[in-house]
Amino acid sequence: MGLPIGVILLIIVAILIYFGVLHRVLDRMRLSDRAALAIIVAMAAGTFFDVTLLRAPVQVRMNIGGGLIPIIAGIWLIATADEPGEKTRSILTALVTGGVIWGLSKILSPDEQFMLVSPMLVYGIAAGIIAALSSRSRRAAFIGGLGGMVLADIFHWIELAVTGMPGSVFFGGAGAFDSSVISAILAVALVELVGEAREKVVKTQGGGPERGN
Amino acid sequence: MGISRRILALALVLIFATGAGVVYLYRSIRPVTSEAPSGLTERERGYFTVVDESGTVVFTTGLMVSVGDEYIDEDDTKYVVISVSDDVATVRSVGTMEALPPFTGEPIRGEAVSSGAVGIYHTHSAESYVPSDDSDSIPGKGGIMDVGAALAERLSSIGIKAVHDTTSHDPNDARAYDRSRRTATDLLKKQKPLALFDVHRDAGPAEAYLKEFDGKEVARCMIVIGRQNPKMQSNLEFARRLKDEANSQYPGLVKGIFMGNADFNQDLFDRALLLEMGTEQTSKEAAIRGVDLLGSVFPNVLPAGGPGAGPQARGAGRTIGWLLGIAVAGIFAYLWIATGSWEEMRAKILEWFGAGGIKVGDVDGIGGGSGSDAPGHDAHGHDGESG
Repeated sequence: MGLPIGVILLIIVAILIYFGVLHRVLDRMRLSDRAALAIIVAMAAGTFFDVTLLRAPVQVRMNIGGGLIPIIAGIWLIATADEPGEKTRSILTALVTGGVIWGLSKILSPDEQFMLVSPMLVYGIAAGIIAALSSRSRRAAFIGGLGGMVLADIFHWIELAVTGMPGSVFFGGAGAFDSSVISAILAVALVELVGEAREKVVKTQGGGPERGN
Repeated sequence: MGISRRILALALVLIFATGAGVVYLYRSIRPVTSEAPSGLTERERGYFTVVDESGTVVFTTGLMVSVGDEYIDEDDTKYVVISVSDDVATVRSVGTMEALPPFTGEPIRGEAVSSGAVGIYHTHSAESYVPSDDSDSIPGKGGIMDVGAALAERLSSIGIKAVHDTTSHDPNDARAYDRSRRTATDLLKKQKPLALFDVHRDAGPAEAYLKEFDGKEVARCMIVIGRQNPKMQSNLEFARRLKDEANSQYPGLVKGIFMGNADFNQDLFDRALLLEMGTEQTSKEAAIRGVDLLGSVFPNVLPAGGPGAGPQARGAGRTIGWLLGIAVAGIFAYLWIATGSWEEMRAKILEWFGAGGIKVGDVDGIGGGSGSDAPGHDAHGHDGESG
């Protein structure tokens, strides 16, 4: 028996919307259409492959699509930033976001229902706010959202190693739908919206055609 | 280089100072909302007593309850939470659930399946049962693992392949569901499951869960669905089918279905459920007897056709509607912010579809700036960059 048609359509629609948004976000990184598409295809295909980085004392794994490829893309985006200041701001955004996410994971309730929105979305929003405050740069937002989650995983790794608590670390384990990718998308979307809104305000107040970033 | 190192050092200090400061401040101002026997983390926040408008207790749970949450009780009466005050939530009955349409998929009915498995994991891997485990929390190897193992064993004994993932997602912090999302995805990828169960135990008085079946004390089950979940309708349909089947064979085995304000990673799959088996005050043995009975009805609710088969098409249709609606609303919201007027928005949409006849630069605010620099870039002239 095959898949019910409703489920097939649901999967197609969800994937089209998600990857459509992801493509748009990568587009904003000044990547060509072809490069953006290549990254998305690699992420989707890489979702099915994991590598084990460490077996003991803490098992550490990385998914290719949700961990390795986005991390490489993030490093590439830092390396190709136009100005040294942009590189610094991107890295700082990621570091501060990592710290904030780690802090949030400790102060927010472990029960999801205590929050108005899913904690997974909270991290992306936090990254977007930090990026908007630091530079209003979409590149910084992407790197902040992604790098912040990766750093938060590294902090979790350190926590397990220090406390001896049984646990594991799985970078990007949910593949293309991992919280690190979602966080990066949300952060860019937030900076985009802030930029657009700010631009609109400036324009309606008679200011010059100031562009966001 | 020296400056970069200083910036890096400063950033690291800032990260930990921010994190530590926020944690310290939060802990010092956090209100205590209920009595908390010391040392039992699950009971630090007590439990909710959910009553109807006449004050009759409908259920108790350690899960967070908020206004708008829904509950379907054993008799299919549906309630909606209308207020929450301290540890008491009030619900209003909104009628009885309509009977489910007949099961359109071909159930397994006791025959072994050649493809697909039931995936079992534990987001809160430390959850334990005080009477059996001497603690309500054992990091990395809580008593709940034994309950999950018993469910897997029961399923295997009736010919259903079960994969019990014992990955620890501790500590029990706000990222636990984020970590278990990776485990759930891993199960979905590798096992192509027929269903996915995140097995927990609730908090609160044991009596709320205990019932005798065949002279033995059994910890019953409460199924939990996340309301912030695009696949909620599909998951709910599966939950109701499981509840109906279980209760037809063992009346009251599934005490109800709670729909809380969360996702619980159920967006990943349309037969993904969270099961609460007893509380920290019930014995683990009673919880094991509970999953043993529950597992025995699985053949009648899981489709024999493999992972993709089943009766969830109706829920999927609704979900598609929601997804498309949200996507369209998001696009319009974005366009409204970006353009600020109906005319500009219209021009932009027509331009996207190549039917506008309005050049990008013709409309102030749309095509200004540097213009699009590549096909596929939007017409705002945003290059996505810097500055």
